Amino acid sequence: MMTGRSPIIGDLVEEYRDSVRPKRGRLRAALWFAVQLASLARPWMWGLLLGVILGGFNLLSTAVAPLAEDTPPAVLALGVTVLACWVWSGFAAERRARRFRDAIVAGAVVAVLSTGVFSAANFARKMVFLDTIQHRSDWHGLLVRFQRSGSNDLRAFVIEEHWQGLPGGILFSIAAGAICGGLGGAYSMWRREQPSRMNVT
Amino acid sequence: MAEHLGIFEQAVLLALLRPQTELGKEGYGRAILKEVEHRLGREISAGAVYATLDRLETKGLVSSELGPGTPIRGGRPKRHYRIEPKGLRALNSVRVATNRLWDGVRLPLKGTA
Repeated sequence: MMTGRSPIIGDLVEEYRDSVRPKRGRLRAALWFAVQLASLARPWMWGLLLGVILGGFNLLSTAVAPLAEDTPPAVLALGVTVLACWVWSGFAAERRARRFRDAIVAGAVVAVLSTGVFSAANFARKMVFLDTIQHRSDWHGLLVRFQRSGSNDLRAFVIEEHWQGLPGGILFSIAAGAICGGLGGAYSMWRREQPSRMNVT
Repeated sequence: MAEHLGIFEQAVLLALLRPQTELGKEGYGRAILKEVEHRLGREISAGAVYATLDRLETKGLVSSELGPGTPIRGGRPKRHYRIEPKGLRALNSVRVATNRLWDGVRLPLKGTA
């Protein structure tokens, strides 16, 4: 069984030094190496990467313009991108292992990890920028709930709401990820079973 | 029941069974990758080859063992692969099925593609 990555990395290093680097030069060889590594990545790696990218973008955009409103097209584009990534992970997993079950698992794994990391980054964003972002219009509902709660500590209230919403969010992401992964896996199977279109006389 | 083998799986098994290049005869990961590239006539990703080898090994069509590393690999070990009798039977089956499928068809084909 393919246990341990050392022989695989050794193969890539050997190919890089022996063939790719002399033929393609340093920059293109480095790009080749990165692409090869990416082709070896497992679903959990893609999930973490997606979560880091989305969470980092959320943090950065808040740091740059904390009161900028989220426009519907931007939110829609983000949602579609995330769902597409989950579908793609299922497609890639099925194509790799030829097992539909792997597509569902890959979708769920990518979804739960990307959601978890994004949620952690979002939590950090709320804690760091709380004094500013509480004036955003999309925080109005939270502030109303805060005033009704009788609490006098907004930060504690935000923390409590965040943690209360997390289990539901994680469960939803697992279900949505499994469905998206299944769709990607089904597409992969469908593509493989398509006969080549040829009209022979 | 005979194993179903895709084109890529056939290429990997044939690379192990009848290597056409000197490097291919060594039967480790990179050698198989180069051999398959040679047979298919295009560049392929390392991930595709290792995933296929992993799948074939899970099915019992190939087996592997670790060998010593070399300086150019930074001392990392090589994983050498070997085709198993079950892999041979699978290749024979797919060849018989392909021959039966093409029986009576004259080449080159004429028509529109």
